[in-house]
Amino acid sequence: MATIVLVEDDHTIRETVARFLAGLGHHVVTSGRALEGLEQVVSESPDLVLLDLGLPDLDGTELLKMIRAVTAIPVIVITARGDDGDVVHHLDAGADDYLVKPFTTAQLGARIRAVLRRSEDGASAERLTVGELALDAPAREATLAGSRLDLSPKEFDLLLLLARRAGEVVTKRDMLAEVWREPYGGSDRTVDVHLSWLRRKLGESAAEPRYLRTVFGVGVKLVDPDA
Amino acid sequence: MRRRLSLLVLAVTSMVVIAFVVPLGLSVRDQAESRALNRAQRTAQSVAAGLAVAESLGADLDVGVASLVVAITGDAETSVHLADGTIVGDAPDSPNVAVAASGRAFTARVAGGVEVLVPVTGDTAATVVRTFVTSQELTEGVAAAWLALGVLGVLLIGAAVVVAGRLGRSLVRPVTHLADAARRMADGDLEARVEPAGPSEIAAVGDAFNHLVDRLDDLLVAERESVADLSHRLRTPLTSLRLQVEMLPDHLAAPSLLADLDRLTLQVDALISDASRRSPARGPRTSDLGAVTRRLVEFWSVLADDQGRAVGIDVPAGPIPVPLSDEELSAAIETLLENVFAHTPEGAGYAVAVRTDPEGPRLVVDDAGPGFPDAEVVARGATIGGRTGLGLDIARRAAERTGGVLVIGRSPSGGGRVEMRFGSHRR
Repeated sequence: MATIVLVEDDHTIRETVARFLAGLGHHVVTSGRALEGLEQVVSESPDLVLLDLGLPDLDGTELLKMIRAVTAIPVIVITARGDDGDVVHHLDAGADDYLVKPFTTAQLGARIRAVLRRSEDGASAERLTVGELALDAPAREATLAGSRLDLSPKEFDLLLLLARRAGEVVTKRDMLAEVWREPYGGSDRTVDVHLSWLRRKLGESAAEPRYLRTVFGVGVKLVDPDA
Repeated sequence: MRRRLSLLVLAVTSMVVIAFVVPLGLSVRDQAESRALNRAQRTAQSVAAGLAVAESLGADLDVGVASLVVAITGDAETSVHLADGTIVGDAPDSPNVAVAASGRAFTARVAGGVEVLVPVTGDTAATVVRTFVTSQELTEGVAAAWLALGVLGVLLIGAAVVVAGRLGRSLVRPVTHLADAARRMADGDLEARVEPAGPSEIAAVGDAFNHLVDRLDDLLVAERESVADLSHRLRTPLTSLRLQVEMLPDHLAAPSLLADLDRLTLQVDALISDASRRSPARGPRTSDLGAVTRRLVEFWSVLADDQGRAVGIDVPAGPIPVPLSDEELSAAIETLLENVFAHTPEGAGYAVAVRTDPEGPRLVVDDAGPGFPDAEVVARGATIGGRTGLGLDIARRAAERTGGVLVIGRSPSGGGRVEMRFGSHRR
């Protein structure tokens, strides 16, 4: 149960998202314009802000900067452009996470849960361990038995996703949606090749798996090999 | 261009110099000749006048008188031919003397020079005065004058060629700069500008070039903005539609609507990424086919290893430039490799080769899978195994943007072969 400010100029999306979030038990305050949204952020002191970047009266990135100037409330930006440059730009400008249109209610719900959980735990404290594998999310560092793993950004994101859901089978579709932000497109082979690299860097292979277990026809799960 | 200008000036100046110097040289020679003849005529006439005066005073025109008069008014080349045939002075007998004795003064060209003959007027016994002008005297000073004229002509031609060279450089330099800038622009550098210089016409071309690049830059910015706008305009209503369908109860056919929406979303995504790929990015539009191929084959070889696929690579050393950005080329090659993994069973090997033919470089991906059902798969929207052919379409369009083609065929092992032929870099 959280208070969420939603700034979105599209009337239907605003209404539907508000209805969905209310259904989850959140208190939702909506606004179709940037400056009105900023006033609500200040007056309502919400737990989370959902901010669409394509606003009629002010560029969403500018509004994000203004929000950051007055408060540290977590912000999830909603953008129609998913290219890497844009995403990095928004995260640098102070967004905690982002969603690329068109998103599903399931993704929206998952993203909100993750951001709220991180803000409750204290964002800087997200450290995960699975067996001898340790991940420091804010520092974007992973170690295996104390030695640092040299991972590409995508490999780190993939490992982080698997570690956050350790023991659960994560489907390739989920990986494409979460890591590549391509919930409907993308190629499974792209996931496969990154998993192969990850296996190699974790010192294992598909034939002799340790941390990364393939569940045929379903997906991959991260497990503690010594448990 | 500079060489041609210099040759042109050389030809024109040479003609002008020849047209002036040759008549001038001839005139100098004529003047020298007439000067020498005038001098000789004056001498002969003085001697003839002296003899006429002596005779009118009653003296006989004998050797003594003639010698005296020649000594006073003549010179070494002057002789007096008396009526009795005696010659006073150092001169040979000449048949022309007899003609002059008839009372006619004239000059005649003989071996070694010209003789001037003047009869003594009033002398009935026909005494003739002769002076001789040697060929050397006739052309005295001509050689030196001609040499001076020649040197002057050569100097004039040389100076004209040097000036033409300088002028040519000032014409050619801005044109060379313009060509360099145009080449940089063709390679995707939209910062390429020229400093308009040279003659006004060439400076105007420089200005027009700068204006053209500015316009192109503006158009590209507008194009990128319109692609960004396209993604916003298409994805926002899709989001709205999806969220509403998701909120519908299942009995209202929500699952089948969602499946349709997924397909629509995939197509829209493909359309947008294709549009943004076609919207040219700033920066260099040249990449190294060899380096990109090696990098991607190495990246995918890890998955090949896990799947028990043998990987062959044959890429010649050294840079192989193709007129595509690194991002465009990588996307195209990646789709070809993904295609091998998607459409061949695990364990099927593949080989990637780069060839450099005279008509342009070529990338060949051979696999040991079952091969393509038919060559229509590259056609837009054609499908292979239920998937859209858009992946290969990306490779096809990338090849076509360079002036090349994408060719589908059969590999030596009977599997599939995809060949990306790039237009030659300079095309």
